[in-house]
Amino acid sequence: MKKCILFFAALVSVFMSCREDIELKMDDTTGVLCVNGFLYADCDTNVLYITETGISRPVPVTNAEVKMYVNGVLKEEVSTSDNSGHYLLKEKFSPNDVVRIDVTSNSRHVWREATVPECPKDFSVEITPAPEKKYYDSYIEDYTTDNMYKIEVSFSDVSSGKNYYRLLVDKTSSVTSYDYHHDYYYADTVYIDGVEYISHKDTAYYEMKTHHGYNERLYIGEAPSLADEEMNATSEFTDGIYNYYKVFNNSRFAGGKCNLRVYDIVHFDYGNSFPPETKKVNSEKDIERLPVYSYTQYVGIESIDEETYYFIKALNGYESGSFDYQELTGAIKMRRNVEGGSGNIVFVSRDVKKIVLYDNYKPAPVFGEEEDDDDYSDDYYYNY
Amino acid sequence: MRNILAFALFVLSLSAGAQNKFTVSGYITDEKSSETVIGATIYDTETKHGTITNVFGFYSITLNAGKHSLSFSYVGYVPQNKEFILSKDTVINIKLSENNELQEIEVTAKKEDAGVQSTGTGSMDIPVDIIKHTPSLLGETDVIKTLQLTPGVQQGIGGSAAFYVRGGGGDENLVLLDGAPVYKIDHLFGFFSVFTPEAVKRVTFYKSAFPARYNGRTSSVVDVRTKDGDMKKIHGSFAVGLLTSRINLEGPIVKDKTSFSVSARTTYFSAVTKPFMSEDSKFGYWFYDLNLKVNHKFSDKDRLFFSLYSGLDKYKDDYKDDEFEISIPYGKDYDNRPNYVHVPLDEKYGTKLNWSNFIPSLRWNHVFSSKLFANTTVNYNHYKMNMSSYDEESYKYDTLSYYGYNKSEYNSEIEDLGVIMDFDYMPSPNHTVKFGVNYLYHNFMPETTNSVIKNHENSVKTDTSASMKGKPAYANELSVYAEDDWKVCEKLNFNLGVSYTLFSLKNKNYGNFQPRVSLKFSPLNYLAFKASYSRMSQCVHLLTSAPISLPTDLWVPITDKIKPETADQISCGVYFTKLKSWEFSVEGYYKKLENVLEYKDGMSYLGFSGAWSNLVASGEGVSKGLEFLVQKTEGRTTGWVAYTLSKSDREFDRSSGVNDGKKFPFTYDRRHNINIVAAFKINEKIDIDMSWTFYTGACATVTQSKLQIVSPDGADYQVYTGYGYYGYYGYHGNASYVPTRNNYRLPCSHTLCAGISFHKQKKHCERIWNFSFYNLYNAMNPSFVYLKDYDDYGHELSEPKFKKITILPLIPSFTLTYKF
Repeated sequence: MKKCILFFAALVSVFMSCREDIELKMDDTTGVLCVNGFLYADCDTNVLYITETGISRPVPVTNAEVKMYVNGVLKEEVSTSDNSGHYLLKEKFSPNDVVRIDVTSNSRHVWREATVPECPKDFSVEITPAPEKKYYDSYIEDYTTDNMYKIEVSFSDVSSGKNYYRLLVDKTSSVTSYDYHHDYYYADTVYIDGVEYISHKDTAYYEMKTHHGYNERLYIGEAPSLADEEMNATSEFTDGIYNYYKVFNNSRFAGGKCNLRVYDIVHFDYGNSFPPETKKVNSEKDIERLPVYSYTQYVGIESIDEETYYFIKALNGYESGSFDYQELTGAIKMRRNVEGGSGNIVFVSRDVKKIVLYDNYKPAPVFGEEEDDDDYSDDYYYNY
Repeated sequence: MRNILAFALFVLSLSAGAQNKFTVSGYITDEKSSETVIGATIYDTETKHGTITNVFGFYSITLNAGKHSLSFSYVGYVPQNKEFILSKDTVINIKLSENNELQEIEVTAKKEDAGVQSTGTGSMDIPVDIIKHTPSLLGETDVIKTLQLTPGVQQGIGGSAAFYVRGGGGDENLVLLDGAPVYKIDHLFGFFSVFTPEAVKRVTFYKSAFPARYNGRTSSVVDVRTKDGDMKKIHGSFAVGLLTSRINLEGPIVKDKTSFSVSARTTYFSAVTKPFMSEDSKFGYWFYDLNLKVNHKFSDKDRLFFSLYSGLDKYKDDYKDDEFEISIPYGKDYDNRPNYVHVPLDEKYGTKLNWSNFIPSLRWNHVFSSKLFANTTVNYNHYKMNMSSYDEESYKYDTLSYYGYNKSEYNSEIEDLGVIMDFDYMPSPNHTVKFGVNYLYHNFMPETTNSVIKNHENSVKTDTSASMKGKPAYANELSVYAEDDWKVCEKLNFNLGVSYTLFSLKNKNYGNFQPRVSLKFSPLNYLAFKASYSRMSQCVHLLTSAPISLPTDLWVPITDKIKPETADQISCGVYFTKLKSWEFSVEGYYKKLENVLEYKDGMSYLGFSGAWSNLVASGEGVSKGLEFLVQKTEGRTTGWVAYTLSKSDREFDRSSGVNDGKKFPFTYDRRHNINIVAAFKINEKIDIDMSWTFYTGACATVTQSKLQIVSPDGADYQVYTGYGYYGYYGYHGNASYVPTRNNYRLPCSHTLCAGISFHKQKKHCERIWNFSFYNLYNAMNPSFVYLKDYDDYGHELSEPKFKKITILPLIPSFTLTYKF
C-alpha cells in the first residue's frame, strides 16, 4: 500500500504544477484543554497529563484543578503539578466503581465519567525457555529462536458480553560488569517493552518492540490467516499495523477461558541471549569480577473498555506509520473520550505477575584461557 | 413477496384483456451498418399510441385490428412511415437511414425531448457524439468525464475519473458494461476511464427513478452498451495521441448475419514521462483496453452476442546500484586472524504493480412472441491486483560468491459469475412490462501474500518460501424484479416497479425490498412534471483511504456485523421543450442514506484491511439539492449549461466512534457547481469544443493545532512534540488536533478545457487533427491541502504552514485520427 501511494506521489510530482502556501480561514483551535491518563484501579498513584493544544506543540497546563469522584463522592482534589502538567492522584478506586474526573483551568472545564472495568479473573502465568525454531524477520531473513522465553498466560473472561483486554509484557534486566579498561564495576539496566502474540491453537505470529526501535515479527509453525480478527497478521509487504500495544477482544473466548502464548526475547543489553552457564576465568580475581545478571519479567492482563480498545488500536496505527501520508489522506481525527475538551482518560483494571528469572545470577567460573566465543558483550567489557 | 405476486396477477389480467388486438413487432436498425437503434420511437398516427425500442433495438406495439399508420423515427435519421391493415400479429423490421442533409449543416445531440418523453426523473441518455465532443484531459474523450459535467455529478480530484452522484460515495455507482458490473473503471490512478469511446454505442445514466431492473448500488447507474458491429462493410478508425493510441475496427464476418467490433487502446506513458524521472530509475507504466464483440443473427427471433472487455495496467520501477562495497573474510593475516577484502556489491531492487479486468459475457436475445422479448446473459468478471517487490544482491570474489534474492507478493482478486434473465412484455400499447431475475455469485479473495527467499552462498543453496492466504468470502446475490411503464392516459404515465434482493454470505442472509415509483404528467406536449421515489440497497463496499483511485482499494462484501446500505430518494422535476432545439429542466431531490460506512476515528484502511468490519461504523447521510439544466440539442452550436445547488452530510452515533457523534459534511459536499459544455461546428472542416467547470470547494480534514496523546507507555514517549521538548525525539511529529472531520473547505476550483478539430476528407479516409488544452488558463486548483511542519531538511518549523498542492496545470495535447 505504501509503495502504491509512493507511486502516486511520483506521478503527482510529474504533473504537479505547484505547491504554495495558503491561508486557512478557520477557527483558532489552540488552547483547547486536553486531559489524558491511564488510571489503574487499586493503584497508589495515578498520573493525569494536562495540556492545551498549541500551534506547533501542546502546552503543559500547570494551573488546573482536578477533582476525582468515586461513586458520586468527592474523593480527591489536586491542584499542583510539575512543569510538564503531570497531576498525581493518590486516592484509589476499584473495579466496577463509577469514577468521574473533573478538570478546570482558566474557565475551561472538561470531564470524564465511566465505570471501571472488571478485573480479569483466574490469571496465571508460566514462563519457560522457548524451543528453538526458525523464523523470518521483517526482511524475510531467517533466524533461530535461541534467545526466547515462552510465556503462557491464562485468564477467565469477565463476562460473556463484549470485553476488551490488553496484554502487558514488561521486564527489567541488569548486567553488572567489570570494566577492565577503566577498572571499575558498572551496571547497565534496560527496560524493554514486551513481545506480543495472541495465540490461537499452535499458530504463532508475533511482533516485538523495544525502546531501541528494534522491530521484528516472527512466524512459528503455520502462518495465520489474514482474515483472522485480532491477529493483525498482515505482512511487511502490505505495511500492516503492528499490535504494539497488544490489545485484543474476547471474540474468540467470550465468557470462557483465554489462553495466550507469548514469546519474549531475552534482552540483556549488548547480549541478546541467556546468560552463560559457565565462564572461563584465569585467576581468583576474575571470579570476583564475573558479571552479575538480574532479570525480572512482568506479565499482566488489563481490562479496558471499547472506546479505549479502539483508541489504542489507533495508537498502533500511529506507531506503524499508517498515518504518515496525511498529505494525501488528510489529517486523521483521533478518538477522544473526555467531554468539553480533548484527550482520553482511561480506566483500567489489571492483574500483574512479577516473575524474577535471574536474581543476581553469576555464571559458574571455569579455569582456563578465555576463548573467542559468541558472548561478545563480556569480551567487549573484559578486553576494552 | 406478497406484493410481487399481486403485481404479477395484475400484469396477467392486463394481457388477458388484449385478446382482440394484434401486435406489430420487430427490430429497428441503421440502414448502413445494421446496428440496432436503441430508443427509436414508434408511433401510431391513427391511435396516438407509441413505444420505443429497447436496448437491443426491439419494439412491440399491440393495436386494434384495422388500418394503421406507424411512424418510425430517431433523431438524426430520416423518419419512415408504414401504412397497413392489421389483421394478425405482424413483424416489421425497419432500417433507418441517417439524415445526411442535417449532418452537413448541423450537429445534433440525438436526445431531443428526452426529458419530456421518459417517465422517470434523473435519467439521461448520453450519445457517443456528445462524449466525443467533450474536451478532457490529454485529449482522451471519455464516458465518465462527460458524466462529470452533468448536473448532480461531482468529480473527485480534478482530472480524475472518480465521480460522486447526489452526495453518494464513489463506490455507490453501478457501472455496467453490456450488463456486467465493472469494479475498476479507471486507469492511471483514475485519470483515464476504461471505456474507449470508439467501442461505445450508448450510455444511459440514472441518478434517481431507478428502473427496477437495476440493483446493487445506491447512488447511480451507468449502463454502457457497446457497438454490435457493422453487418454491411468493414470500417474503422485509428487515432494517435500524446499518451495513447486507439484503433477500432468493425464489419461483417458473414454479411447480414455475423459481425464483429473490436477496439483497442494502449499507452506510451512511460516514454513521455521518462525525461521527468531520475536517471537511476527504470520506470515503466503501461495499460491497454480491449473491447471485442461478435454477434450472430440466427433469425429474426434469435440473436447471440459475445462481448469481451479486457484491460490491464502494468507499472514497474527498477533500480540498480553498484556503488556499494562490502567487506568479506578472505584468508588469514599474519596474526592468523581473518583477512578482509572489499568487494563490489551488485544490488537491484524494484516494485511491480499489475491490475486487470477481464469481463467476457454471452447474451442471447430471443423473441418468444411478438409481445415477449427475452434477453439471457451469462457473464464473468475477474478483477485481479498483484503487487510485488524484490531485492537482489550478489558478489563474486575468487572462489567466494553470494547471491541473495527476496521477493514479496501481494494479490487481491474478485470473481463474479452472473446469470441474468430479462423479459420485456408488451401486452398493450399502454403497458410495457419488464421482469426478470439476476443472480450473481461473488468470490472475494481479499489478500494473499507470498514470499520467496533465495540464498546461494559459495554454491550452498538455502531457499525458502512462505505464503499467507486471506480467507475468501463467497456471496450469493439474487434479485428478482418487475416493472410496468404504464400509460394511464395521454397525459399521465406511471412507472411502477419493485425489486427484491437476497444477499447471502456465510450463514447470514439479507433481504431487501426495493419499491420504485415514477410518474409523469404532461399537460402540454412540451411540458412535463415528474416525480419519483426509489429505494436502492448495496451489499458491497470499496475500502479506500485516499481520495485518489489506487489499485489496492479493496472491494469487500457486507458482513454479519455490517448491514446493507440503503438509499431512499424522492425526486421531482419540471421539463420544458417549447423552444425548438432547446430543453430546460429543473430537478430537486432529497436522499436519505442508511448504514453508510465511515472509518472510525483514528482508523484507516492503510494496513488495517484484515478485520475491516471492526474499523468502520454505520451511520446516516442526507443529501438534497436542486439541478438546473439548459440544453441545446440541435444546430451548429450544441451543448448545455448545468447548475447544481447541493448539500450532503453524514451523522453517526456517539458510540460509533465517528466524529464524536457530531454531524459533518460529506467530503464532496460542494454547494455550487456550474458546468458549461459547448460544441461549435464552424464548417464541415473545423469544429471547436469547450467545457468550463466551476466548483465551490470540497471538504478536507486538516490539522488545526497539536495536542498531546498519551499511550499505555506513558506520556513522554508519546508526546510528539519535537526534539528536546520532553527529552525524547518525537519522530511521529504529527499528533494532530482535528476537532471535527472535514473541518476545512477547500478553495473553489474552475477549469476550462478546449479542443479544436480539423477534418479533411482524403481519398480513402477522413483525417482529423485534434488539439486540446486541459486547464487552458492554468488555474491553480487545490488537489490536496496539508500542514507542513517540517522543512525540506527535516527541521521543525516554528510556524507550521498550510500547503496547497495543484496536480494538473495547463496540459496541451493532440490526437491524429484516421477514419476509414
